[in-house]
Amino acid sequence: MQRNRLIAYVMLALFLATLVTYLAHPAEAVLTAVGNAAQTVALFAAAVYIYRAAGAFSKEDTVRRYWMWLGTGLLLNATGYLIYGIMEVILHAEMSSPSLPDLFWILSYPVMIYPTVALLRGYLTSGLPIKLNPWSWVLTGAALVISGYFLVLPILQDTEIELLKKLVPLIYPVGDAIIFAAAVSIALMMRQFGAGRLGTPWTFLALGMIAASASDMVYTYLSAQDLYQTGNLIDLGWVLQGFLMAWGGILQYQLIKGDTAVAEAAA
Amino acid sequence: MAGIVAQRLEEILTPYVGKAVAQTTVRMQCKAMGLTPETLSPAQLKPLADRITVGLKVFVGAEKAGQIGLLLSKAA
Repeated sequence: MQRNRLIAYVMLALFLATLVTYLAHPAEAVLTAVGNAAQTVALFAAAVYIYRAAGAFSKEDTVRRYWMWLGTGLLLNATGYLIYGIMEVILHAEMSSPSLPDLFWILSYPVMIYPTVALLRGYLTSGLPIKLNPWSWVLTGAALVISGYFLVLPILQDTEIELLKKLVPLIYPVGDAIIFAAAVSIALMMRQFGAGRLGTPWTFLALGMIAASASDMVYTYLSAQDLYQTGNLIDLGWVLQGFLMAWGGILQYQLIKGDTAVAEAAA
Repeated sequence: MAGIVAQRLEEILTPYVGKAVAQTTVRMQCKAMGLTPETLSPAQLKPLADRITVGLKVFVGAEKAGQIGLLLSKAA
């Protein structure tokens, strides 16, 4: 428990250090390096702790594989940021779209969506009296309309881009809207547990996913309008995603393995 | 008002699923077995605990759910 508290403080300190750097408006090269390093570290941490949580389930548990998929999605995401950082900060490569990091980021969508939806379904059919909150439908609809109108439609209407080249920028808003919808649904569903510990890990995981998908959607919009510049605070959404999901993974592990009093009482 | 045995089940479940879901779970599973929370007896605990455990598996895995299930079955 002490160790977990220490990890939480370290993650909070790293996030605050990144935020302070962004607010201080240093040189663009510093911003790029700090932002990218923070995103990479946060997402690798998330992948590690989600894998650890997956390992806490026994091999016979079907859900174990969903947690493994979730960890792999985060690993792909983190690898994308790592490659992007190396290309931009170290190699000073000209970044074009689609690039190598795009491959990892695009791959991470199905790898993250599949286990999230599967777990959402599993929780709904668990037999416990929890159900989808009606607000899930409202927020899902809103995400789809906003994403469709402001992000997807302009790409489809752009006559200067070839159809095949439209595919990559289209995947992001569509994938983000799906992840946002699934994450919001789970977060609202977990609120039914109140102070119960069963819902806490997924509350953090879902908040992390919401932070990332919202940042992605705002980034896509700002980029399309030529309004995005390095140092924009939306970069912190991806850092937040990593740390929130890492904390969710820690809490899930703790939920399964940490409560030794129950194991002793049951023995 | 639930009986003493049902209240003990709710107490065990509450730290995990919260008070509202704990109460509904016990009531719902009792109903599914043709029992009432008010008259629940220790002899009826084992099959009831098994039913509740199934719902916990997807959240905490079979091992942990089994431990909670054992506590539930010893609730009386």
